[in-house]
Amino acid sequence: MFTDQILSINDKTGGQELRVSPMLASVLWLGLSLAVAIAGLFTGVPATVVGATLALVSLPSVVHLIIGTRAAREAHDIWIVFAWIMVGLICVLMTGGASSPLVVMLALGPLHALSLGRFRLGIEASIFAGIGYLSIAAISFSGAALPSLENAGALIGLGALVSVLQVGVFAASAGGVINERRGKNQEIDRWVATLTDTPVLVVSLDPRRKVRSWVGDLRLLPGMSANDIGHASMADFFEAPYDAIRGIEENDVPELKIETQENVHVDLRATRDGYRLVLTQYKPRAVKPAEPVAAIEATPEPEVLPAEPDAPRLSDEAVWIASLGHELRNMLNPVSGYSDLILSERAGPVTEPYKGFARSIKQGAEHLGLLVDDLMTAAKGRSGRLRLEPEDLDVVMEAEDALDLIRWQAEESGMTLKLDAPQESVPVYADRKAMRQIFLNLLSNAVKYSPPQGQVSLTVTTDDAFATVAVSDEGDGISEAELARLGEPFFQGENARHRPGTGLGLSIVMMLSEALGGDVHFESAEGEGTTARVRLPLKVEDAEADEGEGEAEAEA
Amino acid sequence: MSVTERKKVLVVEDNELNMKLFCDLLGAFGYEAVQSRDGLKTLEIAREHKPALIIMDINLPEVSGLDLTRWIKDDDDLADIPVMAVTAFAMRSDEERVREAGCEAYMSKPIQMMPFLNQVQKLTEREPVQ
Repeated sequence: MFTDQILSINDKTGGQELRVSPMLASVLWLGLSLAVAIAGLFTGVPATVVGATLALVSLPSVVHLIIGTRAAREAHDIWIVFAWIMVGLICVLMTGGASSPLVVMLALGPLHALSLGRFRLGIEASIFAGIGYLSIAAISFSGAALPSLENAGALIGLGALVSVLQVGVFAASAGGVINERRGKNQEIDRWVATLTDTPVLVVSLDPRRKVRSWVGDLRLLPGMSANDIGHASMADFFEAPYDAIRGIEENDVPELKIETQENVHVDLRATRDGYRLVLTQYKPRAVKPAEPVAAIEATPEPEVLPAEPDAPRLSDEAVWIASLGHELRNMLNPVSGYSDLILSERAGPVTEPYKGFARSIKQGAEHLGLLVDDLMTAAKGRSGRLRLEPEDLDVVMEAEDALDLIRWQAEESGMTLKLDAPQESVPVYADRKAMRQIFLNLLSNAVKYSPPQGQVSLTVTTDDAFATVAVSDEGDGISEAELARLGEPFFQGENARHRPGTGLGLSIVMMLSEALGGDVHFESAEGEGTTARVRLPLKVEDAEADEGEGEAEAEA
Repeated sequence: MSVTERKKVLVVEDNELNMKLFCDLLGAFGYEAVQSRDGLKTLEIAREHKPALIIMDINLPEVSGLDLTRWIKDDDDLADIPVMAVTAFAMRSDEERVREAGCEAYMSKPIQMMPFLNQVQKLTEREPVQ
């Protein structure tokens, strides 16, 4: 099929996805509608007709631009496509019926769907437009009078203009002039493929199950060349592609029908815009070489045993991040180790400016190490592998420790740290590491966003059931819209852009607080600083007194 | 200090830069580093050099450092050599697995130089550095 061919080329140019970005499509559509409306007014189409049409066709774009969600986008696509068909049908109807030259406008709906990359919608639109045309033809042949419009000529001109514009948008989309790089996903694939030792092949498929791009180690598929895989579809990988897709939900992906290397784990998952096929070669468990003397000449080939039952499923995104963390830490080792070695002066005296340089390298490495830890904690939390080891702790003491750890960072920029806590201990039964990380993340955030000379305060209070730890800063505060998004992984507010950080800190705080049976709330107003309140359940003294919430307080 | 007095430490590590770091660190503090990049040859090298300590990266290409440690601990000639696991995996369960495999000590990368050297010194029973 002609269009199919165009789209195949479109999908595989340079291995990246080429299609109109949804936002751009909305803006284009709005612009187009406006242009046509203005042109319509100039050519004498009644203002009421123009206004009504403009409202009808621009509404979904406006909704989409304001709400911006995926659902709005889907609805928006469908609305626009069918609005085009309706416009086409009305034009045909008003300019002489089945024999009108404006029949060409019926192609606009399907074309628009195709330019959005929605092949199925295109087919549906074609069928719909076809039915519409047949109905008009039937009316024409039955001899019924068709409505006529005085300015049919102007309408024809307008229709032609719109058609040309629409075909232009479609051509631009197909030719890759307007493209959307699929940012993060592909970036992560590439990182993982290049940074880990594990041979990985990631094949990205579009919703029509054709290969869009691939990255990684093609040697995992000995029978496939780069050219083969570029033109492959799901059916080339699986005997029954539909079973494979059904298998995604049941976590039961069938075997590949093509030859792979040994020990290759196959994983298929649905993504935002298609499918992702991931092949990873897991490490076979090696067997001890034969006894020493015999081993000198004939080093036996390691015999391959089945993978360890608890071998991580490397396709799991979280495990990927963890292995990324592993590689990063591995490379941080020489960075921080050699700075230490320089500073130790074991290889000869080091003069002061160079010592300072080495200290800076060391600091950078330490900071990077913290970020990697954040990343790995978040990955563990996401994959449900977080393990807590609760013990009896005193919130006040832990808070003091956390303050001590952050002190150098705060005092460097002249900030003061204030602790406001009850004299007596505040007992909780919680995991020390998790709690410390909660406090540290909140404190380092507060320090990060406070003005120099500002004050960061940590307040510990208790009520019947909870210890509440509030960390307040005197920073710029957070807007209401951003407040709602705090804790989303990788989300960073407007004024966080130029500050170092992974954007994971608060999502880790949320995850850990929930894991400890508590919760987090943020209060902020722009210009008035931010307060984060973590509630942690107080230790219940008597194991059976779970409901006697007042007891912990009785101590106070 | 004469060369013969330098204690041998076998470093099992597949990453070049990390290997270099361990060797430089150990060299600078008076140890003789012996290198093994190939997990399967480690036992052979250990038998040849009889090191005072083995520093073991866990994530090796052919065979896990934990399996290697188990083999060392099963070997009558080598079982007495202490093994210090060094890994960039920072998961709590790893420390348990490392201990189970028979490692005497465990350090996570990035290592801190002084704790690392203190540990090396303790395991090789040397006189304190300086």
